[in-house]
Amino acid sequence: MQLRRAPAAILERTSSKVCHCVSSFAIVPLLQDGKKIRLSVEGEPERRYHGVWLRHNCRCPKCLVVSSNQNIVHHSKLVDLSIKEASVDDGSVHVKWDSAKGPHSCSFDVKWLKEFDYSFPNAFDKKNESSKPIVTDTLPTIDCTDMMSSDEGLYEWLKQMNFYGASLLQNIPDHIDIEQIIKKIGNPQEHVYQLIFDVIAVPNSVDAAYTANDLNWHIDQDFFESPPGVQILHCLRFDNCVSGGETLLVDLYNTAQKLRSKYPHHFKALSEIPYSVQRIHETLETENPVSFLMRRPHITLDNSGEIISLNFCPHHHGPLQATEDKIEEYYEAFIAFSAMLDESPTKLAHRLRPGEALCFNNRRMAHSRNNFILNGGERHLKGGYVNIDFFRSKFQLLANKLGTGEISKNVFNSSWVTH
Amino acid sequence: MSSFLRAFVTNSHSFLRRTTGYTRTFSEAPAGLRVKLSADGKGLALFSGVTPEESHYHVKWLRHNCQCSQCLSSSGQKTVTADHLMRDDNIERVKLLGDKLLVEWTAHSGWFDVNWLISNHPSSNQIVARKEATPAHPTTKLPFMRYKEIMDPSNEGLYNWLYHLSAKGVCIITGVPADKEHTVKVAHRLGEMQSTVDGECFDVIAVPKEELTNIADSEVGLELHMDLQYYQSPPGLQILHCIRNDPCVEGGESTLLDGLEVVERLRETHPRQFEILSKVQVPFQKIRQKGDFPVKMEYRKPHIELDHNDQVIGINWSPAQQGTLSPHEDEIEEYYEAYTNLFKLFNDSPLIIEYRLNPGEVLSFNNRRFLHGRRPYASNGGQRHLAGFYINIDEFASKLAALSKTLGKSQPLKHVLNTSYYN
Repeated sequence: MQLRRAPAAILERTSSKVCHCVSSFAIVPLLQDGKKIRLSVEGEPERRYHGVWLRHNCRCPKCLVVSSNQNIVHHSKLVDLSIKEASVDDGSVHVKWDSAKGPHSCSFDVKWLKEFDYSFPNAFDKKNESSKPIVTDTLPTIDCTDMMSSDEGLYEWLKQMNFYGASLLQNIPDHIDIEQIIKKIGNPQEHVYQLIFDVIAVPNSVDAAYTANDLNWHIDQDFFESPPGVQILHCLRFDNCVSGGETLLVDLYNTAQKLRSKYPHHFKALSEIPYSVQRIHETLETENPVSFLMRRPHITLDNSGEIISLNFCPHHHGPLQATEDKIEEYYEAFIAFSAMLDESPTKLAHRLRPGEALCFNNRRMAHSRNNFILNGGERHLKGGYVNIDFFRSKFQLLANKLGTGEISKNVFNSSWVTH
Repeated sequence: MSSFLRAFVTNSHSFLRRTTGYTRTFSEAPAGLRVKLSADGKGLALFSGVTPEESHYHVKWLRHNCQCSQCLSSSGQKTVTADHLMRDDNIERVKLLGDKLLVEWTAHSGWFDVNWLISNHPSSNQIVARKEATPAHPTTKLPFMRYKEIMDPSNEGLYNWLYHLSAKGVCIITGVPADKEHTVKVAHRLGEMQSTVDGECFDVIAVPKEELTNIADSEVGLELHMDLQYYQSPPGLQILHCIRNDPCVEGGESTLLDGLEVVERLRETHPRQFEILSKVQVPFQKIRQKGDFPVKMEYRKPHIELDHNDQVIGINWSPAQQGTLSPHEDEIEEYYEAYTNLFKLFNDSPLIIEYRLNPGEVLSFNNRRFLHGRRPYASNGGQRHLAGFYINIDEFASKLAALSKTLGKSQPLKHVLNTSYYN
């Protein structure tokens, strides 16, 4: 079934009950015996709205709880429904329905109807286009004081992460700690380690990150249904004598798009074959043993084929479980994708300095680091996360508050993006 | 002779210790176990001796899952990279030694525990595993447990509680002191409370109309729903601790329904509606402008989420949090037909459990599988007060899996509807 690709509905026959026709811009005739209305604005193609859709989105206080914005339309009110009357005045469309549950009426703001229009030719093109992330080969930067002291500064910081996937926060004063930075977005997100963790080389570490080794490209804690969203790595110490240890970022989205155009069969394999990600701490001396297991493809798509999540964490791979014919297909694709990440022309590398924090969308940007040698010095980062859905909410709230007119990009939180 | 084989022949044990960090002693191999390397070196076949069939393993799958200490760190993390997979595309030799299989690839030597290989075969018993993972019978009767059982340090009671929540999806704990201090004690048995837009520990209590930000905090009835659907990972376990429910309060019974059972029935009776509800995206939203903690959450997904084999891996149902659907014009009528039918199937289901919570009782359920609601009530001068919190769905599944292992339990674990794909 390809719902999205079906041809647009042919206009139903117009009933004779043409209702009220005020103002120069709109007429509202009933279509298909009261199943739809047609809204015509002068100079624009017509828009159609279904009676059932309108009823479900009724704006009256009996149907929409104003204080909580909760929709309380009962399903029985959506059955055997027909529009009896529709009229337009003063920028509002007034609709009267009849149903088994009795009559009901509501007024809709024409502006609202236009915003949620779904029948207009290419109605969703603009929304779809504006949710596409932007790829960059330069790490955007922002001054910490600007970010902390005004809504505009905070918005700029959030926008860098939302649009480009990463932002380097600079000139962080000594009295500002990572928790204060995180709190500008929301509460720190829980995960299997400490809420705020230290990245520092330790012996017998529970995680490869807490060594001096280099790390493969990965996103953090991929074994959660919703892995950490924004990741903040605040540099406290990075002595000059330490060699290596640069932090690296690569855009999984950009690379996956390239994989799709260059090797469609590999893209198909990585978006169809689920692999296992696991975190098992049963044998280690740990107070709280854990045993996480998540299975899904590396790349997941919405119903229109747009990428909605990127899952990549080679060191937490569990054994692949797939039918025999898929094994080879999977590994060829996995190897090709890994190689493309290594060779990406938009890789970002940065040697963090004390007073800087690298902030990025952990769901879009895979990170890694070069191995390092302490040479008697120290390298110490503090890290923490913020939930991805909440990050998106914060960006959108602030965009609306400042009236920037911008909408959130796809943040790869698995929410469908194509309208 | 390669260095690998030379070392192996001269002193297998010291070779293993030196090369792979392997120090445990060998166990006996399963009787009749045999291994055969394919002629092209691209795979091997294992005859377990238990069943007549042979199991095939691909060279790259084996390389990727090598169990030697160079490839699998003590933290349980893999260090095999795409480079290794590219380089080691041939198996030169294999050898069984007790219950260990030694493998030499192009440029690496490692080993496997044979029993591990058998139980982790890429396509072993997929259908059986799926069946075991899906709850077999709808839950219409509430399991009950006592507070002292779940608090017992042996963890047997805790395991039973978590197992009920996985197999049946719901459980009531009785005998919990009716104060919020004990809500926290119950929470600590499960792990950390999940932090959401509602904070961590929340109160369900009727508030004056002007303070209302959620219809749950009033006396009105609540349709069956799942909480916080506007997150990628909505709350897993929901725990509602009844602090007060005065005898004079009329109504307010909690309602519960096994959503998975109803959805599976829809698949049988209305396959086209089932399909529509798995393909049309629905926006779930939370918009709160006032207060110290404004939010504008929006998340789009279908009501029913399926994996690559069309198994149900997620259910999303919250009529009150549904935003404005932006459908394609040709799918709107079919969507509403399916939506209203499922809505009706839920509300009229004979499987609905109705229960009036008493002070000192804790209702716990999997918010990803069960719908919950509330009958309207009249306080009549009394009070109804629940203290609630959530536990992340993956934390719950992890806790149960780890406990099951620690306590040596063999009951198969059920899918918790956290959108993880089945095998």
